[in-house]
Amino acid sequence: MPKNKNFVVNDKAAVTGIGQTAFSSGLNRSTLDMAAEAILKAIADAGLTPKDIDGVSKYSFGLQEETENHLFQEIGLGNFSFYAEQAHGGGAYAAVISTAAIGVASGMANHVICFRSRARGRKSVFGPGRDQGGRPWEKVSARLTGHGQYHVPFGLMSPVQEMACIARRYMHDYGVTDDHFANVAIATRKHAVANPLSMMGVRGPITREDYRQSRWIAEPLRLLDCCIETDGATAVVVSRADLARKMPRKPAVIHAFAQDTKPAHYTLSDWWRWNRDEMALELGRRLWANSEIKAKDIKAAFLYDHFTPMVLLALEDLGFCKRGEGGAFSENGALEGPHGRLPVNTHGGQLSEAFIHGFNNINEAVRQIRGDSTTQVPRCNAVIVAAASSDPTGAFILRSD
Amino acid sequence: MTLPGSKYGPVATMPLPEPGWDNYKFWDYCKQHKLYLQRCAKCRNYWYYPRPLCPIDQSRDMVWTEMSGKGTVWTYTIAHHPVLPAFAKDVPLPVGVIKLAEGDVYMVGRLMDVRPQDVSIGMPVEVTWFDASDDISLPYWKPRKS
Repeated sequence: MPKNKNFVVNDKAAVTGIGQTAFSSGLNRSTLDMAAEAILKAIADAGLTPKDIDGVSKYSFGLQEETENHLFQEIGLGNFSFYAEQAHGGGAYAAVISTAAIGVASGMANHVICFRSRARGRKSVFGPGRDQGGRPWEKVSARLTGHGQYHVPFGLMSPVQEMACIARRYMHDYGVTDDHFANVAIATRKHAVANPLSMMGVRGPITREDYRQSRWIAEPLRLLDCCIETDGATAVVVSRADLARKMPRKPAVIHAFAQDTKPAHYTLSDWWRWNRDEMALELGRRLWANSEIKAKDIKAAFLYDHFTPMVLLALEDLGFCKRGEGGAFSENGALEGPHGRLPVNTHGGQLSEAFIHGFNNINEAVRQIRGDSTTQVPRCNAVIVAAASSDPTGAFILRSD
Repeated sequence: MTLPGSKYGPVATMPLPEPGWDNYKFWDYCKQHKLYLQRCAKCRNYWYYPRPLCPIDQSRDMVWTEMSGKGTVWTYTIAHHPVLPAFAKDVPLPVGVIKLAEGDVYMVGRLMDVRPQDVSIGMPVEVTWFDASDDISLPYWKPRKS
């Protein structure tokens, strides 16, 4: 595929700082409080001070209160010459970074802060507090005015049920099995066990038998096919690449990025009218057209693992294998670091490290480029980070300088 | 420390549609136990859910058309976690996406009168009606002989 000559922002930005809070099922802290910790740690990691930050790129989906005003008034950041916001569940997080890269590449800002903070751990969600009373899909009103009226009254209302329907059809069309789903769960847990900051590492590794014995949530998906829920925040600083080279940490250069959205990414009730096979294939085509690094050069992948089958679909969407071959690709420990064919989510991912709406994948991708991962892939000079194929989505490539 | 009680707790009853300008005809037909969908007079495609114009050709000539009420299961899940209290007595609950006999048009639907282990992709189904309230009847699906 020829390089897209209209994409002129290759290597113009870099991640120069990362930060995070602890990850837990209950921290008893507001999202603003956790965001502040992660943001200030990322700024310090970059060798900067809060007054050096002149832009913000963030993520607005779901209950969240960190507006620009909060960042000024309550954290002490200030004077942004660039600000941007993405919506959409797990599909947006890659676009938060690509938008920040555009911000610095265009000359609108020098250092853009990007973050995500969530108080969605089990202990925070189920209880009497102000934001509690269940997860968003458990807090529907008695009368539904939106698209939910075409599926909620029939008993289909949570992401796991939606993804279960997609997984069932995926198995039917391509012969993918739950044994393939288990490959993803086992690999990410193995990585979490090596990562002392992960939530699930302390539970130890899981076997294929543990996977089969875990309870059904929505067939064909079991408990161990599902991501965890977390209190925690992560943040990164995206800087102009020329400035990054003079900063203390080894830069993770943002080489290329792409976005994709189309009707097949939208609501449950309408998904099926459009070509589901296409999913995010267009995202992969666009990303590689914008990139001089190719799929064969990628040393590790950070994919949105809200549910195990979606990792296999993402491998297909992004061109690591053909449609329907994601299951076969995952065999023989291929996804396991540090020496698998393509280590995936070497921190434990959303399944076993923490669920920060994908944002913790970015921090780990940067650690791999720096050489700091607890499951470090040898000579890791190029990685891919991708958001959920099931929503408006995006992906980017980080490289060493 | 315990914070004050939440006003956001889950609703005890099954959430129901609140018909609006773009879809009240659909729910009115359902109330009469009739399954009507819009069909674009120009491109002849059927559409669900209801909408003011055809997204393929932007025609507003969307004709309400009675459907046979027959279809097949295109995909499905067996929900073991009820999510809402209203479904607690119904799990394990089979719910799927029904491909209607008229063509490339799909509806999310609950599957009735079938054991969860007997549901399969391609299974022939027909519509059956559940009167959920005074003003809302919901199209559910049950097995039919093919």
